[in-house]
Amino acid sequence: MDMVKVINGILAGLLVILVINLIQPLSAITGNIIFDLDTSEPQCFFHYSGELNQIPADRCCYEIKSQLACTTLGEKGIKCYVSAASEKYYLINQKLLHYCAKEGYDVKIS
Amino acid sequence: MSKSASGVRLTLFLVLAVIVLLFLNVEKSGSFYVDAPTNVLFDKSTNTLDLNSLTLKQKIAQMIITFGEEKNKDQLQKMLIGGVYFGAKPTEEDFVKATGGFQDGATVPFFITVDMEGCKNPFENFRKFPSPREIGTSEQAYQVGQEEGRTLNEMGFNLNFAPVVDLNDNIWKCRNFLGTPEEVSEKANSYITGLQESGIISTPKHYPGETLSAGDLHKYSVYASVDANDLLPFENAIKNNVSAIMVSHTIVNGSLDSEAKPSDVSVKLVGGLRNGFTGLIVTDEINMQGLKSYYSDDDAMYVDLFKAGNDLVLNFNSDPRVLDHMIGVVESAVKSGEISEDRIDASVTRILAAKGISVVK
Repeated sequence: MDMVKVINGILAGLLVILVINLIQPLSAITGNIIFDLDTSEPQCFFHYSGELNQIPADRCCYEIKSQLACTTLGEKGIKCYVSAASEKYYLINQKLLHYCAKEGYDVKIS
Repeated sequence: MSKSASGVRLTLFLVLAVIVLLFLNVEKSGSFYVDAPTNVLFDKSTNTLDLNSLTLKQKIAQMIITFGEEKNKDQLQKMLIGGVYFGAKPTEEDFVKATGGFQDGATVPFFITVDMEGCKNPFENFRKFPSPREIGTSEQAYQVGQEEGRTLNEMGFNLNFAPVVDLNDNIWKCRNFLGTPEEVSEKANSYITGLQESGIISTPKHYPGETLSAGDLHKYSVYASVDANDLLPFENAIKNNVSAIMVSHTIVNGSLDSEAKPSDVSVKLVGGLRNGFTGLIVTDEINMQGLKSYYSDDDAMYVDLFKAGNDLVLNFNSDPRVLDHMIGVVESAVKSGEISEDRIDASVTRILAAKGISVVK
């Protein structure tokens, strides 16, 4: 009998998860939770002519989606570029990446 | 005994419910299926398309440009999406393969689009071009336009979202031409001529100007006052027969008034541009908060974008299900009379004409 109760408990939990996922994908919910837990500001800078210029977050998502690649630089953030050797590149933080995903811009880190 | 039996009955019920929900979840996340468009009457020998043969959804789809992701190619082709945009790739061959892949098997050819602005150069791995700020004379601007046009042509592109004709770029600090409004306008027009002579549609942006002036970077809506100087490059580009103009999300007043709305959803502003311009009116990318934050839900935004009179709407959310939803929302607005079908037909006719297709009804 205890075994039946345990199985029913597990099935009920699974049922709730499946209902929630049907309404809104769990990936979106967990994505939003991660975004909300990270209290830092989305940051985006464009490097050109030896200067780092701050770019508005929503314009930055458009730009980094059209770059060739984004690679992580550890604590320095994430670098997005067309050419690895170019002086023109974007420096963003993790929060910006989450922000872009939330806004429908699918940006992948290589 | 009866408690045990009811426990087992509950188990069976839960198992059944989990199976049904698993099936529904898989169905929801499964691939989005679109039928091949067998209804389109397009005579490729004469390059003539019967507009009446397109469904309303297909006509609305022609008005959308999205990100060209290989994984969505088949669905975007079948939906008759109007155009695809490509970001950077490692080699010229990669671009040729990608653009050709979308055009091969497309019932109606795509606009194959890019942001080739010099400062912003998706071909940087194999071709270098000067940024607009490095272009000193109109003659040089014309040569750069021609050269970029040839490069784009070789790789299968037919539409470039360039040049930037905002008088200032206080954000990237490299995307605008330098000089007086007259000089900026002259260089932009020379560049446009060079690009269009190479067979590439030019799209000066971002109407009506002041889009790249840094405001408060933490506020999403951008407000600006525009004057005659901001409008000059656009007015001269229209006189120079430019094929397209991109409208921004900036909320403007001054010489033009966007009615406290983002410019590209202002009937007054887009309608005003339409009155003096027969080319394509293109929105900036619509997932930007500069536009989205004005709306509490995306559906109202979709309707306003089409109602305002834009011909082409840029939506870089390339999930075909999102695009299909957007098309469905606009279709409903047309069926309810909120947007006239004649307006949609006028845009699609302009789009097809820009693709070199003759339209009959």
